Parts: sequence; structure tokens; C-alpha cells
Amino acid sequence: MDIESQYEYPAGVALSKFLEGLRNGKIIASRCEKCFSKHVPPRAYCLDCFKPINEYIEVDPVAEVQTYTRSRLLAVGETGEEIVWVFVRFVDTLGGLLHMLDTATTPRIGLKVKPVFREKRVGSIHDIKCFTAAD
Amino acid sequence: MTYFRSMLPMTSEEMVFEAVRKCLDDAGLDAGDVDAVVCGSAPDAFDGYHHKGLVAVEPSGAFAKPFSRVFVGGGTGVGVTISGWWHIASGLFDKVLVVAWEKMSHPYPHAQPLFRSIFEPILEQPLGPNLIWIFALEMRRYMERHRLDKELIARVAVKNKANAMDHPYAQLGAKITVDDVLKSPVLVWPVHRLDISPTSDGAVALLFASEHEAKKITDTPVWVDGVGACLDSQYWTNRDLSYPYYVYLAAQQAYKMAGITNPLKEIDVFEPYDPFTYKELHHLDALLGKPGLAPQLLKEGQLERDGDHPTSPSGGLLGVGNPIAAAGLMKVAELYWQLSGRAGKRQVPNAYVGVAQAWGDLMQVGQVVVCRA
Repeated sequence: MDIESQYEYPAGVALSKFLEGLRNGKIIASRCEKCFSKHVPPRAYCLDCFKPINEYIEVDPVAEVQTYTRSRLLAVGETGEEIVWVFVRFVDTLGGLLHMLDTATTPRIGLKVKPVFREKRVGSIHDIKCFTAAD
Repeated sequence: MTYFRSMLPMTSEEMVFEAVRKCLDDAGLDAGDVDAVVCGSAPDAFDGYHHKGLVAVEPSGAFAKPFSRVFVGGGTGVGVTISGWWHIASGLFDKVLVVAWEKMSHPYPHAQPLFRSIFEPILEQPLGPNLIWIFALEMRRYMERHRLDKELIARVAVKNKANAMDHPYAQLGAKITVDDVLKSPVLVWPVHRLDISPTSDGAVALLFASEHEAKKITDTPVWVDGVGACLDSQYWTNRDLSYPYYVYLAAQQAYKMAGITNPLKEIDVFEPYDPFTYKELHHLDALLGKPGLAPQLLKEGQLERDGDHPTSPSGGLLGVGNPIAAAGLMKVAELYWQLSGRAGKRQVPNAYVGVAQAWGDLMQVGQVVVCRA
């Protein structure tokens, strides 16, 4: 049995703000009006206070590597080249992003990194080419 | 239970029937004696049947009875156990059949790409994530926190595959060495091939009965003494990857019900969920409530079947196999065999209290059951 089906997912209110930010070369967080916690990627409601969020702010684009891996595997098949995948959390925020680390940077938990934006940006996670050492 | 195999030449329906028939035969019952059925199986995409719980209706004898399907990802095997217990504990049912199965060999060429849809669609799926990445990230974080090396973690595979050699239904029982694990291909660093359980087909069934009915069925009943279930955030980026706090909370619920205050001293058999080598340690840490204790116990040889704290005496998912929902229920079945003194060559001496745990979805489900002889 073969079934081909395409799915289209809306980014939604909060992630649309984030994607718009990426297109402008900025990192956007949501901020809870009650507990003031900031979340990247932004959320439409506070996971702790269970209140809606209406405030979106730009944050310093410096993140810390929480953990990392090296892989040639993608969802289907191999890429041929080894890629370092990092899970980074922006300073003073909750949440985090999965992304690539540039080949010149040696991965380390605790390393401060920043996003490298592409010149041509369309409002996608791929607007970030990769992360690189912040210093 | 059925054999756990990579490509079992049976349909899902046939596997369910085989496991159920063996369970009923063992209990000296027939399908007509069962009041209700709880079934469990992982995502429909694996079987390729929409609403696939329905394939279990006839082969579990559930026709014209209360029938439900429980689904909490990889945690389903213990999730169905908890649901079976709810049925009996409600007082509405005396005999409830619980069956879990998985047929991972249907998707071609491999089940792996189906896991892609587990990731968040806007920011993660466009990166082409492979399911193993997330475990590699978690494993690396766990290793960093407790300063663990691969050599130690590899001993989980050595132990569990050796234990599985005594399990009559096991898929991957083997005598291997730490070196074999370290020299097996790196799939996603630091995860090697032998750190991972296989994809499998298989089914497991257990009968739950009220106290007065259980005593009529067997002289060696095993009692469900405590259950616990807990979910962490849907967003894996919000969690502490080095410690599954949700498993800890689920265990604490079960221990409170069972009157257990010191799990290390009071529990004789541990069956934590071990789809990956490090996961056995990660989960055991949470079952013991002490981050970093499990690797220490492993190092001292205390997790061996003849050690002070036998862990995965069945052979676990690494050795017996990982037909997702059935794998969790296999762990509960192992508690039944161990605590009733029927585990044969795998028997742990003086086994009176055991804990089984399963875990799943996007690394966020904690399901725990405590049983007592």
C-alpha cells in the first residue's frame, strides 16, 4: 500500500512572530506579563502561569549550547557529511532551538553561540544558516 | 507472549490471538470468562491500519464487551497495565484482559522515517531530524552531567543481551563484550548500533483479576500494589535532559500507593525501559530518585541478575526486542514471572517486590507499576 499525502501546518500566532523576526535577522521571544519569563521560540500562552501571552520582544541573540551530537543521518538516509547538531538556549530565556553548528567551531556544552543569518531571508528556520561561537 | 522477531510472518491479528490464547490457557480460562479488554499499540502508521485498535477486537475475545485502546507512545505497555488495574479497582469488572502488540515490519523499507512526524512541524521538521538525534542529544547531556564514559554505558547492552539468552521469546540474546558495542557502527554520536534496541514484531497479554477471582485462578497471584503516570512538557527543549523528572514523579505516585519509602532497599526487581543503553540508567536514576546512582550501581555490578539490585533480568528491550507497546507489557510480564517464581533460568532469588516502567511519546511519558508477590 502506498499513500501520498501532503500536510500544511500553520505557524500560528506566536511562531509567526518568530519567523517574522528571523526574516528581519532578529530573535523574538514571548514574555509573560505575570511571571515575566521569556520564551524562545515564543509561545502563545505561558506554560507555567497558564495565561495568554500578548507581548513579543527582541532578545540578545546569544545562546548557550545545552548539548550536541554529530550525525550523518537525516530523517531519510545519509547526508554524506557529518553535521554537528546543537540544542541551544538563548541567555535568560526558556525553551531553545535545535540547529547546526558551523564546522569551524568545536562543540562543547556551555559554549556561547550566536546565529549566522543568511543574506536572503524568507521567514523560515533556514534563515539561520547555522550557529557559531559568540566570541 | 509471542516471539519477538524482526519480521514475524504473522498478521497483527494472529499475533494478538497467540498471546491472548496462551494467557487464557495459563489462567485456565476462556474468552467468555473475561469481562472487558484493554488493548495497546503504538502509532497507527506502523501497522498502516487506520484506527488499528480494532484489529484486536476478535483475537482478544472482546467482541460484544467493553473494549478500549490506550495510547501513550512507548509508554503504552505500562499504560495498558494501569488501565487494566483501573478497570478492576473501579469494582465494575472482575476479570480484564490486557494485550499489547506492535508490527514494526509493515513500513518499507524501515519504520524510522515515520518518526519524523513526531517533531514540531515549523522549526524542527524542516531540519530533517532523525529520531536518534534526540536520544544522542539526551545521552550526551546525561554523560556530561555525571561524567560518564561510553565504556560504562556499553555494559548495559552486554548485561541485557546476556540476560535475554535465557528468555525463550527473545530476539537478540547474545554474549557480547563492551568492545563489541564500542566497535559497532556509530549511528548518531555518541549512539552506536549496539546501544539501540531493534525494531520488532510481537504481542504480550496479561490477565488482571479482582482479589477474590485471582485466588480462584492461581495459587501464586502477583498483586498490583501501586501505579503512577506523569507527562512532561510537549516541548523537549523545556526539559532537563539529564534527569527524567516525570519518571521520578510517576514512580513517587506508585511508591506512595505501595507504601514504599526506600525503593533501593524495598524493591527486589527493576524493569526500567531500556530502548537505548543509557535510558536504562537514566530511568533507573528516576525510579531510585537519585540522579547518577544507577551508573554507580552498574559499575559495581549490582544491576546484574545475581547482583543486589537486579535490573532488566528479562533482557529488556535491548535483548528481548522492542515491539513498542508490547515491549512495555513484556516488562510487566517479567515482573509476573519473577514474583510468582516462574522465571526459570532468569529467576532472581528472593523476588517479592518489583517495579516496571515504560516511557515514550516525544521523551515525555512516565508510566510506572509496582507489583508484589
